[in-house]
Amino acid sequence: MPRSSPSLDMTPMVDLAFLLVTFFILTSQFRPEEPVVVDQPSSVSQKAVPSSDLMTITIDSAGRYFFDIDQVDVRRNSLMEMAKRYNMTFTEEELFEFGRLQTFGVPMSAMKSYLDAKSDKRKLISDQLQGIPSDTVNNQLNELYNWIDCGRRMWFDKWGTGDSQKKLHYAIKGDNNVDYKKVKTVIDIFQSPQIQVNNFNMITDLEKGD
Amino acid sequence: MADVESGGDSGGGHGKHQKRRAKKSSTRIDMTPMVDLAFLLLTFFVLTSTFSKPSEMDIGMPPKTPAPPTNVRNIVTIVLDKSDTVYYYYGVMDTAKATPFLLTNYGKDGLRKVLINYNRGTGEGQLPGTYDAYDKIMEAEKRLKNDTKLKDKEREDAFKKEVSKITDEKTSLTVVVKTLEGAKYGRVIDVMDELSVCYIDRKALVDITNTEKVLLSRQKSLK
Repeated sequence: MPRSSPSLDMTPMVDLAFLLVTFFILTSQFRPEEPVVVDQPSSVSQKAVPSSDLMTITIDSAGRYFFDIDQVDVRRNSLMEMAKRYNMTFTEEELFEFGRLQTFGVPMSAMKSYLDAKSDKRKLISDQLQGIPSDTVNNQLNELYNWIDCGRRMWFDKWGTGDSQKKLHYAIKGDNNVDYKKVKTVIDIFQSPQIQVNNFNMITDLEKGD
Repeated sequence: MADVESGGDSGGGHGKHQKRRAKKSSTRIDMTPMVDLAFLLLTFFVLTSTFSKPSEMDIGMPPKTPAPPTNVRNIVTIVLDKSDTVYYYYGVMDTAKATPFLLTNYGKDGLRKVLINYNRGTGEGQLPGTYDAYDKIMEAEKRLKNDTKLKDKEREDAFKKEVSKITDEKTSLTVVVKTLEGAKYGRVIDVMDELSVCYIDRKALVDITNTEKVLLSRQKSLK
């Protein structure tokens, strides 16, 4: 009987390996670098955060506000609307950059230089700023209010308000250690007579153990 | 791994055959580096990809205008402080008598026990035997668990329906969460979480009143 060769046919294994590689490459989405890291509280809630049609207000541990809404055109339109309200103009490149951006936390006064900066410098700029200002009681002057208002208006312009199939979700992503007062400010904006959103979500991590 | 190419011609030849064949170059290529790379990539993607997503918690706030009527009969007010103590009282704040704030802490034996007791009608200040939602819910859970005909999903839905039926009554326990200056957001979420663990659906985040602030600070200073 001939001695069997010590080498084995690896073809099926290699096939499988490449199949898996392809699968993972195609399915994985790199998490975009966020300008702020938030240690969110944990809860037993198992409801997943919707991946689209979501407006997120992030509050970091220092109490700074960040804003995000998905869909590039909605973002662009929101910035144009904001520019109108604050008597500013943005170039086409700046609008393009803004559309690509994720969560941001810069006041309108610094928005231009923020967008003009190289993408690797932006975090540095953002770190030195105090987030989106929300210190005035008057909603018309409150930048965070205006962002929320513009964001949802632009979303409604695109998708309409009446359709129950597709609706905009509002989420608050707060840091575990932030003062509740800061969250309350956002809730108050949502509940203000001009916006009247009473249902929103708190983004949490799944609780480990019991 | 190293000898992918050593399959056909290099190993087995003998005698004159060996010489003739050795000149013909092999049609096989060494796949080792490619396979190495494939596995490297595979490992990378397996390790970096996460399928889990953060979860979210629904917070339905009562509309500001008009203010909804609250069931003043069966209401617990929880006040969060910046420290790890939680104050609570049952019923309506009686300013003249200064309803005392009771103390507890976060955690299983603290707040959760308090809330379960209130949901059972055995909490501090409740008239015993007047209200019992928790045991009814537990009973429903047990009954559905024994019902082997149901699928997991159906059981879950049926249970949710039962819970909302039990907690949707007029006399249901309402929990009002208020915060003092400096209370942490994470703690508020903790409390909301405890409420859902204890199956208390009627909850609201409300501003603390001045009376409560004054009475609480007075109570604190007495200690």
